[in-house]
Amino acid sequence: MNHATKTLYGLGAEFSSAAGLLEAAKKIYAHGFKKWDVYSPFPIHGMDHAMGFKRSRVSLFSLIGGFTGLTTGFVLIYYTSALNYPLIVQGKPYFALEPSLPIFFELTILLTAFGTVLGLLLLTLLPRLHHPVFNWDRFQRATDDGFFLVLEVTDPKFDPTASRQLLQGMGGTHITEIYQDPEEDPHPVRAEGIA
Amino acid sequence: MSHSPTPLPSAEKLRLESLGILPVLLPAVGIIGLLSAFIWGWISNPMQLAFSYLFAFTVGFTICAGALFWTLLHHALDADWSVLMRRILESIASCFPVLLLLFLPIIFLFSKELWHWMTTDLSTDPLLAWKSPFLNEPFFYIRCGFYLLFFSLAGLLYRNLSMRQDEDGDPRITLRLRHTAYGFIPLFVLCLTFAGFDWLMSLDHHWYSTMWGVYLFAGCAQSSMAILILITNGLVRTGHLKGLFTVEHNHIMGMLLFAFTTFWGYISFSQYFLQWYANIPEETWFFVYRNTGSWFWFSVFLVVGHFFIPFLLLLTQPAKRTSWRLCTTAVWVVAMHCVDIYWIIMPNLQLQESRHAGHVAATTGFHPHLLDLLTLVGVLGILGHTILWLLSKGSIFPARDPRLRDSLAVTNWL
Repeated sequence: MNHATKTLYGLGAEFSSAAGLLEAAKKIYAHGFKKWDVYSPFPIHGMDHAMGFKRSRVSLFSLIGGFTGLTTGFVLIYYTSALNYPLIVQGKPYFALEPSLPIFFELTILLTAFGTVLGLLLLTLLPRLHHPVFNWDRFQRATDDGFFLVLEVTDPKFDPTASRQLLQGMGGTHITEIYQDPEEDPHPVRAEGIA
Repeated sequence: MSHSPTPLPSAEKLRLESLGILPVLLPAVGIIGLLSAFIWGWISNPMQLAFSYLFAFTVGFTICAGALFWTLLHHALDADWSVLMRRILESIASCFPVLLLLFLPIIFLFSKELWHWMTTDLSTDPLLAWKSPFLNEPFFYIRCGFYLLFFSLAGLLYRNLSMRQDEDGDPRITLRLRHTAYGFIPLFVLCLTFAGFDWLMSLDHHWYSTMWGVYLFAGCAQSSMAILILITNGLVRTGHLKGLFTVEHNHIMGMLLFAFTTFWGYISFSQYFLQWYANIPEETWFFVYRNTGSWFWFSVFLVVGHFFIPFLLLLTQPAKRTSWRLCTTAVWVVAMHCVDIYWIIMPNLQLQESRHAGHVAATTGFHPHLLDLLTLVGVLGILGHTILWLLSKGSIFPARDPRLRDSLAVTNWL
């Protein structure tokens, strides 16, 4: 492959176990790296703590969703039953808190859930169809039995040789340079096909 | 991930001397409270005494029933996190023999004052006559005996077998208790529900609510979780469970307290909501009595204080992981549980008083009486002393439970 036309994305290393990956993540975090990630076939307990994750901001989206739902519920009920079409049913008031509460509750919950999912998608930049790590052959095993750590080249701490030695020192194997997709069409039409 | 096996902690005794004046204070206020309440109340106002005493008894009963529920649930679900705290729950749940004794005055002194249906002429009350195959005195007393005997036996069985496991470390005891729990949970539900029907719902015998059992149960589970939080943190603060109890245990207990706060709100709203919607006269009077005069503000306080305040206090993670914040909320929850039971029972005193005065049954508003406080302090003092005495009999945690190691290592992956 001609790497000269491609830009480097990062440096990947494979680890033999979840525990090895966890230890490596702790050390990478201690070294002060900012742009890096780990990949494993299953969630590893304590990994978020090892990677130094702060409190997620998803709950803010949940809160906004919840308030939107509550407001929608109130406006919906009050406008339809007390303003637009007031009708006495069973001698109950046009608007009463008792029958409204389940609807407030349901709409609050529903829009909280929507807000949470939407916030999650926004914060994780999903859905995303492709990622440079897929250019690494061994990475297929991330959904089977492979544990991977990738340091990104844009991290200020990144240094091609020092970072490679660091990953090797932590027990990383198959240390590989991962390249971005080339700018040109990744699937060029073969010349003989045209002819 | 591999855990290197750490040696299991050895059994730990309750050090009574570290608890200050509490071991003396509890029986003292218990006896003084009950004696003064009985002497003063019996002379001045027997009916007030009867209702105050039923209120105090019900608060104690619900907390102990909640502890029995948590013990049964722990075993039925094979839970690991709660092993460390289970001896405390078992000790609270073993207070039922004392509650059986405390129930005797209700049967022998107060039953005619408390339950209007016992003194009502059946020919004047067709609704009661229809219920009389169930709601009659002999059957009522048999049922009361059955509930309290079942609770006593269940509580003692779970504590005694757990204590025996401290001696011999036999893991089969865990299996046996788990299998027993499967049978005991339905019995527990039936006993608690029908005890609620008999002791509280029949105070106003025309009124009925099919949610009554689960409403009481929500209060039981919530208040006893709050009591468990207070006892555990109290023990930790006096130097017990050192290195064993972690913030993760507080977090789990806080989550369960939060869950049952919400559950209580959900159930109590559902009960009110259904009766408000259906608008059937026999049903709505329960709430009409409690929305009259100053009882209205009492009811509002109950809704805000029993649901909204603990809900907000427990919502965030730090609230559950900070000992003093969790304990403050737990104290508030226990206090609001007393308010809840007071709200259930005390309007019936005013109904009885107005009936005896020859008026139509009606409530006159919230009038607290010193006897309420004296009986409550008395019953809780005696139960508190019993719990301490039971705790001091053996290790304060099940030292040889096969799941103890899991309980010590419990983590909430945040």
